[in-house]
Amino acid sequence: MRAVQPRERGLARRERWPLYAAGLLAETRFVLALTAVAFLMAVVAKAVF
Amino acid sequence: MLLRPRLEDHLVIGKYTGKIIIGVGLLMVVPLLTSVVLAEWDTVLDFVISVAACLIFGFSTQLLCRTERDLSWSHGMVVASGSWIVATVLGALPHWLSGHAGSYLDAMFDVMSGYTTTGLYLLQDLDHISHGLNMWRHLLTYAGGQGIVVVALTFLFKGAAGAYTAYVGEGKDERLLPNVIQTARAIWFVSLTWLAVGTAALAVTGMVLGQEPLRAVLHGLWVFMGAWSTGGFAPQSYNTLYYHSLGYELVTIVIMIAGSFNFALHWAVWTGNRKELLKNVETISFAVTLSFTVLIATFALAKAGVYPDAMALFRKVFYQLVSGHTTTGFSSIYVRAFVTQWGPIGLMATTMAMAIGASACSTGGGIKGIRMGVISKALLQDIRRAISPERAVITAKIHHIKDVALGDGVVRSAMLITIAYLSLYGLTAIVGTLHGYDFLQSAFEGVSAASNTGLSCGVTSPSMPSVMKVLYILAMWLGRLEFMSVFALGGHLLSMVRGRG
Repeated sequence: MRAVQPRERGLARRERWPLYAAGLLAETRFVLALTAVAFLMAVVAKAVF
Repeated sequence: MLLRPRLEDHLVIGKYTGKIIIGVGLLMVVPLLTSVVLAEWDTVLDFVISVAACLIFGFSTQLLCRTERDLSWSHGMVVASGSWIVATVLGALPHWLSGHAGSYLDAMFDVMSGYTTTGLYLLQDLDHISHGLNMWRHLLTYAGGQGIVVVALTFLFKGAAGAYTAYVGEGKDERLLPNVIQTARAIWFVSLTWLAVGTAALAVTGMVLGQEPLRAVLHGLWVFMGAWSTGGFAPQSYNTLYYHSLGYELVTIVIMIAGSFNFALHWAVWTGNRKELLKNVETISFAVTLSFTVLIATFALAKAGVYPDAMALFRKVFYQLVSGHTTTGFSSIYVRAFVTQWGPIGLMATTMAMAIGASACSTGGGIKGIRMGVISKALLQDIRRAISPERAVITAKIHHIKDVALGDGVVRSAMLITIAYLSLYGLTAIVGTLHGYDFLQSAFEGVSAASNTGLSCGVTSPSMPSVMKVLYILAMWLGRLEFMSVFALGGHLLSMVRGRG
C-alpha cells in the first residue's frame, strides 16, 4: 500500500507556523518599543519648551 | 580592453529580459481582472493592450533569442538593469492610456517610481483614477519591492544557475536558503504572510473608521503594499493624511519598519533566532539613527511651537521620520508643510533620515544601515588603533546573522557605494538648484528620489522641467539597483560601440 503523501510542503508546513507567528510578533514588539521611545521624546520636548 | 559582445551574448541577454517582461505582462492580469470585476471597461481595454504589448515583446524575444547558454555574471547584471528600463517603458502603457498622465515621460516617471519603491508621482487627478489603475500602481511597488527579477526568479526561471547573477544585479545579495530560487520564494513567502496580516489589520481599521467593506479592503491592500514595499503610493492624493487616524498611522508604522528590514533578518527571526533583532548591525544602526533624527526634529518643532501638544508632535514627527528613514514616503502632513511649518532643521533631519535609508536586501533604498554600521565600526577601529600601543592588534567585527570580521575589502566596498550615493544626492540637489529651486528643497527632493523614498516638499510636479524628470528617473533607477548593475549596462553599451571584436 502506498504511503500517504503530506499535503503541505516546503515553507508553508503547518508545524512551522507557530514559529513564524512568534517571529512576526517579535518584529512588531521591536517597532512598538521604538514608537514608545519617540513618544517619550515628544513628552520631554513639550515639557522643556 | 573592452571586448565587443558577440551575438551569443545579445541572445542570452534578450532571452532573459524577455522572460522578465513576460512576468510584467502576467502581473498586469491582476489589475485587468480588478477592472473586469468592477466593470471599468475603459481600463479593461487599457490593460488588454498593455498585457498584449508585454507578451508580444516577451515571446518575440524568446523566439528571436533562442540559446542554451546560461547567464554569466556580466549578463546577469545587464539583464537586471536593462529589464527595469524595458519594464518601465512597457509598464507605463496603462498610465498613459488612462489619460491621467500629462505625457509618456510622466507615465514612465510614475512607473519607475513604482518599481523602485520611490513613491513620487506625476499622475494627475489621483483621487479619480480607476480601481484597476490604482491596483497596478500599488502592485508595481509591491513587486518592485521584492524585485522584478525576484518575481521572475520565483515563477519563471526554473533551475537556471546563472539566475543568481540577475538577483545580485537587482541589489540583493543574500541567500536565505541554499538555492537562489528557494531564496526568492522565501522572500515572497515572508511578503505574502505580511500581506495577509497587514491588509486585514488595515481593512478592519478602515471599517472602524467608517469605510464601506469593499473600500476598506481595497484601501487596506493598497496602503499595505505602499507601506511594506516602502513604496509610499497611496490611493488618495492626501496620502495617509486622508485617514486622520492614529490607529491607521500605528499599523502603517509597524508595516513600514518591518518592510525596511533585511529579508535575511526576517528569515532568521521567523525561524527562531528572535534575539537577532537586538544584535543585528542594521537594526541597531536603524534604531540609533532614527532616534537621533527624531530627537532633532522633535525638539526643533517643539521649540518652534508648531504642534499644540505632545501627542500631535509625536504623531507628526515620528510618522514622517519613520516614513523617511524606511524610505517609504507616506506622509501625514501637507506636502508644503515641510517648508512652511517644519523649517530648515526639520527638512534637514528628514533629508538625513532619507539619505541613510533602510536595510540592505530589503524593499527599501538609501545608503543602508549595514554600510552605516560598517563605516562607524571602521572609524572606531581606526580611533582605537591610533590610541593603542603600536604592537596592539585591533580587530573589529559586525554582527549580521553571524559575526563577520571587518576586513579592508568590506569597508572599501561600503565606502564606495556610500560615496556613489552621496555624489548622486549632490548631483540631484545641484541640478534642482540650477533650475531655480531653493537648495534645501531641491536637496530634500533629490535625496528623496535617489534614496527611493518619495516624500515631497513640493518640487515634484507635472510642471517640473523635463530634465529634472529624466534625472529623477535615472536617480531612482541607480539608487534602487545600487549602481553596479547600471554601470555594467553602461559598460556593455560602450563595448558595443568601442569594443574590439
